Amino acid sequence: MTELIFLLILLAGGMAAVAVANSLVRVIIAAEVAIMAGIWGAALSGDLSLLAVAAVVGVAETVLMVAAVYRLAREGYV
Amino acid sequence: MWPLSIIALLLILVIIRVRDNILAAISLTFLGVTVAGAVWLLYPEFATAFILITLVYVVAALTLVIVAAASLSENGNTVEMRRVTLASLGALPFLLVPDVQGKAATASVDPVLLPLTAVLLLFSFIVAARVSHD
Repeated sequence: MTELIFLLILLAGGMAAVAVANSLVRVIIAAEVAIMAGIWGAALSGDLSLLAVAAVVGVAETVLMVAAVYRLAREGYV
Repeated sequence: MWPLSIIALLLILVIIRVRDNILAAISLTFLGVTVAGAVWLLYPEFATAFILITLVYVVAALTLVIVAAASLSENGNTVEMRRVTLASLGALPFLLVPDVQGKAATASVDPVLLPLTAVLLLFSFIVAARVSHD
């Protein structure tokens, strides 16, 4: 039961942090919290392959979001 | 598991309440270390996963610190996403999912995954370079 509560804290907490964010960097940080809920959910399956895929996908989306924020900062939106 | 849940809740509250993007990114690093420690507590044979997740979030938070330091200006109004808050309540039915049984963990990575994840990372780096340096 506590494993699911941990998952819910990460998921709902990340979404709440997105909802009250006041800058795009803060939105990315909150999305990372929600991605961590995905990594934790993969860990609950007890399969290291699934956990490795979740971690790699987390790296890939972080790279893409940070690149998008650099582009937005250059165009003056951040 | 309860102390780790409380620590995670406190770190998320710090991310929500603090007014500084850099402190929020540092809190994200500690949250990553907390999740990695929870994985380690759940399956002690996943010690490699502990190192993996910790490294991922240290790198992610360092990158975010650089971005946050490069763009320090903040405007007063929040991003209007009230529906996201309501959607987060939609996670509550997950409590009805049956609990994890103590089944044996497979602590080995499928070797087929290595080229696939390498291609995914290469693709995302290429897209990121195109997006940020066109």
